Amino acid sequence: MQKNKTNLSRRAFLKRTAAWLTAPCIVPASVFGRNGAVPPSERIILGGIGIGNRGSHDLRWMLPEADVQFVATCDPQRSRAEAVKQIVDTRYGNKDCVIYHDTREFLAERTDIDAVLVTTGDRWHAFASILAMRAGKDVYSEKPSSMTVAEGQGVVDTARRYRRIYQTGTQRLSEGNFTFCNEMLRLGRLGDVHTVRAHIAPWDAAEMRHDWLPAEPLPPKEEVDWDAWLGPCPWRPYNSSYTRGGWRGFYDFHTSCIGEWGAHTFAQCQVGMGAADTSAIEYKYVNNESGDKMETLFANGIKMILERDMDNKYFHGSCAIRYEGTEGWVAVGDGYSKPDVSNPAMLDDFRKLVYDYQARTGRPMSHVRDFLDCVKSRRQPVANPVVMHRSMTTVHAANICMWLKRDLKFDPVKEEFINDPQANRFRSRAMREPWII
Amino acid sequence: MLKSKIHIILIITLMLAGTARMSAQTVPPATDEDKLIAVIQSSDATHKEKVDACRGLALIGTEKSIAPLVALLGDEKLSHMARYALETIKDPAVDEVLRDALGKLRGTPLVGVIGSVGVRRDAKAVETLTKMLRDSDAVVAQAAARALGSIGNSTAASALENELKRTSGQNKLNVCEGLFRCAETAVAEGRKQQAIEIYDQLRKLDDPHQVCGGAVRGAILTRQKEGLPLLKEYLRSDSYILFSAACQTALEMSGTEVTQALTAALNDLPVDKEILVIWTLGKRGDPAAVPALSAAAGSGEKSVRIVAIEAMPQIGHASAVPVLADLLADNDSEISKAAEEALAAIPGDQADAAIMAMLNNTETEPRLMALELIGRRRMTSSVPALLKAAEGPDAKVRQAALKRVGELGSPAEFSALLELLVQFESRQDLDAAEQALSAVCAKADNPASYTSKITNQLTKATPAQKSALLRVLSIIGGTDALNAVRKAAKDSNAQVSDAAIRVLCSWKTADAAPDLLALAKNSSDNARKTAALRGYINLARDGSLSTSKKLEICRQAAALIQRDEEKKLLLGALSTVPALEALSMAMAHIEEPAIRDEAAFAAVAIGEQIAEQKPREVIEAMQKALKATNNTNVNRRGRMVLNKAKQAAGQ
Repeated sequence: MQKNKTNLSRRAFLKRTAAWLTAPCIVPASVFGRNGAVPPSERIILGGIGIGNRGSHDLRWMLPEADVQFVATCDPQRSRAEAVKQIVDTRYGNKDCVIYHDTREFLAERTDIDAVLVTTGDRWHAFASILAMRAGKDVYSEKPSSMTVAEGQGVVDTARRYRRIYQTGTQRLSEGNFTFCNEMLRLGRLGDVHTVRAHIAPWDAAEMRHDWLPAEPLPPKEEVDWDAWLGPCPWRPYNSSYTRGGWRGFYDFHTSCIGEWGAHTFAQCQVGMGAADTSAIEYKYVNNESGDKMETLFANGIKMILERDMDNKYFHGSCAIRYEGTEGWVAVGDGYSKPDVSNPAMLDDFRKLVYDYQARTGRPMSHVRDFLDCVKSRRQPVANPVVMHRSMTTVHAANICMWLKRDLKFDPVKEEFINDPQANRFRSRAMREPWII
Repeated sequence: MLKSKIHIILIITLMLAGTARMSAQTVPPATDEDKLIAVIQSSDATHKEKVDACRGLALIGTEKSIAPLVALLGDEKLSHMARYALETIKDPAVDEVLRDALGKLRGTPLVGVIGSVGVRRDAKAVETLTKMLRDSDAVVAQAAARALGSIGNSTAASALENELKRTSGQNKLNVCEGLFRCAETAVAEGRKQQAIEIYDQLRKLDDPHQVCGGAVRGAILTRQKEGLPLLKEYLRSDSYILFSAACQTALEMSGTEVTQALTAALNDLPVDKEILVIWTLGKRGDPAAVPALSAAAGSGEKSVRIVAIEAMPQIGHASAVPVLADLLADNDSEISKAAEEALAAIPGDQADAAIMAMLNNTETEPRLMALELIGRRRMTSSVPALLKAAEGPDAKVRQAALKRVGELGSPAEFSALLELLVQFESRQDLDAAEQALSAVCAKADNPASYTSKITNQLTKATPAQKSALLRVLSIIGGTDALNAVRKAAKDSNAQVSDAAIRVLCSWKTADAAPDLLALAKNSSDNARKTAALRGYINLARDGSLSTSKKLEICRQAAALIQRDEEKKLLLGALSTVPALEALSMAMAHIEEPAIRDEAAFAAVAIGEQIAEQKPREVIEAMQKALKATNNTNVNRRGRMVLNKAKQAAGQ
């Protein structure tokens, strides 16, 4: 109920958009060509890369939007591409969704596509986003936005270079409860905030797997293009488990329990504390398997502590965060009807703070809609390349701290570890040919 | 020879242990370098072992690893992993060997090495890479273009500029990518003019659109203040792509002169472009845009007017307030609604003052609008004015003002509200005052301290006022409040006694239990009897009660229940009681078709709480409950409880 009430601008926008779409186009797309810029009255032509389980959720949020037309999907796994086609064709009542298997061919050929939904496995997120933006597409990519610091820099550079709009799927940045907490912090209602706490996934470890699953016979390339599936990652023999989501936990493909939820919660905390354009400067090693209770420090003096337990004394649910200041605290995670607060009176302004945020920023409480609006307005969305690169750098640095088993210091201006050449070696990984950027 | 073989076997054996360790340990010790080198040089080591050795060398490799790694560059299976290690070794000798490999390799290994040369920004490789720009293998040519861009010096830029004139398709896109990288490096290294020249070439291309648009941005931003004429030029462009590139670039530029360029461009634009400029002005947040936005908001195409109104809170400047206030009266309801939404969010004292002025209007509608905005803006400083409005002659305004006092006021407003309440006669006024009074009481640290003030008024109040005050007492709670309600329940005035009994029936704490039980048993009025019984059953949900007290209430209630509606209520209450007897009471209804779902739900909920203490009884109950209901959710939970109980029973 609350969500609806604080979402008036979105409803109004959609209503108007629908009205424009039924009116004759003032500026026909054919005059301007496509995929460079979408005028307010035009539909956004959308394509997909690597849409699987999670991507299907994103797709189902995008398809009902009145100004979206999904036309093609690309995946090295035929079965996944066909599943997406079925969803799209069912939605539109036709057979028009086109399937591609080669990302490079897809991007080069479909100049009519304005934006792409990238929901591959983690290993491909940054790579596909960079290729797509270089091809002139705007990008909505699932999290995490990068596997390394260098990949994140590549996303930021490419988006700027081609003035592309990019949003990562850290959807809590567009949810009322989380927005309220950020606004409480921004407005100083918690006093001087000294500590924030960020959930990391309560399964898996920070230490990653380097083993190979047993080799299985390679399927025909038209069923699974294994070389393309691996993309820029080191080669390894085919095993079908990887292609069914079993890639998690492997160093080449995943960013550990810290990245699994930290991609959400670190971004949340950094946006909240006004540190979205930087990364933590200190990382204290903790002698456990996950990074639980690791203290990181930002240049503004705020500590961010990693919390692993699902239900602890600070918060519950999943992907939770908590901000602690001299005048109170707030905490929220998935499943909260309202944020937990140190004083119930803090919630009196809940609606106002969330509404004011929307009016001030022009951002709706819908992550997908924020992206689509920005495709038209050309402003950067809430989970833009800088926010995601900087928060993922904090994730990467926390992982590196755990892997090296020592404290680390990071210079967020130079984007390198201080006096630690070995830590700096982790900032990039050579990409496998020909999948280089 | 034999000794050498034994030595290698020993190293391999050691490395197999080391390799196995790589599965769990990311970073090998620095002392392992020789062992890792031995693995990659061994003909006995497996592909996987060599891959892992390269991973290790990527973290600890030094100058002595270079040659062994270079030997793998031509091996299609290991070339990548060799680069994986080589890229991270800072030694300039790596650049030399990679440069050397450029002349020897073909195919994908060559593409990989080109990439690594680019990552390492080896300026000495420019000449070789320049030749590769015309390689017959397009992948090689494209990789070379990007690598030259990463190196980014003047020579590399010249090579790419030359190539730009003759290339097309994907090769052209990669040459452009290289040139962008060169321009960015030039800016970073202070070669601004060179960057401008590159951007100017790119922006004048016919395609690709992303290159032209990106170059417009680069050309304007690199010129800094001198980029303004270029911005203005593109704001006049017929091409929507270049026009939108200019708007997007303006988002990265500060200064009123940029705002002026945008507002000047607003004249005579098609609607789509006009909207884009307004979005840009809103996002930039420069108050100098307010006059132009006000003009756009005031008249013209509706979609443009609404976008202009929505841009006002983004700028958040007080000068927008009078404009928005005027638009509240617009004949078009969408416009006036947009203005209201904007006014609700625009920050600052001036907006507050404008809204307070609206409250002082003589007309009802503006005053109601002001009250709505006061609530949305949570203007707590307006409470004295709200109380004054609550005394006024306009009923609609009075009631809306009282509602706002309840929302924004504190216990400090208690006396004023109480005084108002006992002056009101109409039901609407009394309801509004009662709600406000209840709301401020609920905010008090010690609400019971207000009981006596209310009971003092009870003696002189009218029956309608008394009824309202009794309901406020139910919010306050406590012994004194309950006693006052009990007394009122015996009032000779039927309106008062009826209200008091209704209050009793909705009392939240178990101290009202004897009263409700007596009413449920003895009242001559059937409706009252039912209400009392329902209220009595609900008391069992009081979380502060002991299990035995809850059970007692449920037992007493069960004896009085006749209808299924109350049985359902009882089953709901039972579900909160963690006791075997509660389970038995719930299971007693499991065969009754009209309520078996509720009975099963209660049994499952109780079972969840006592499965470990009473596993056998819970197992039996769950088996029956699962058969009795088709409710999916209850079934799912029931199965979980059954499993839990079986586990506790050791089954």
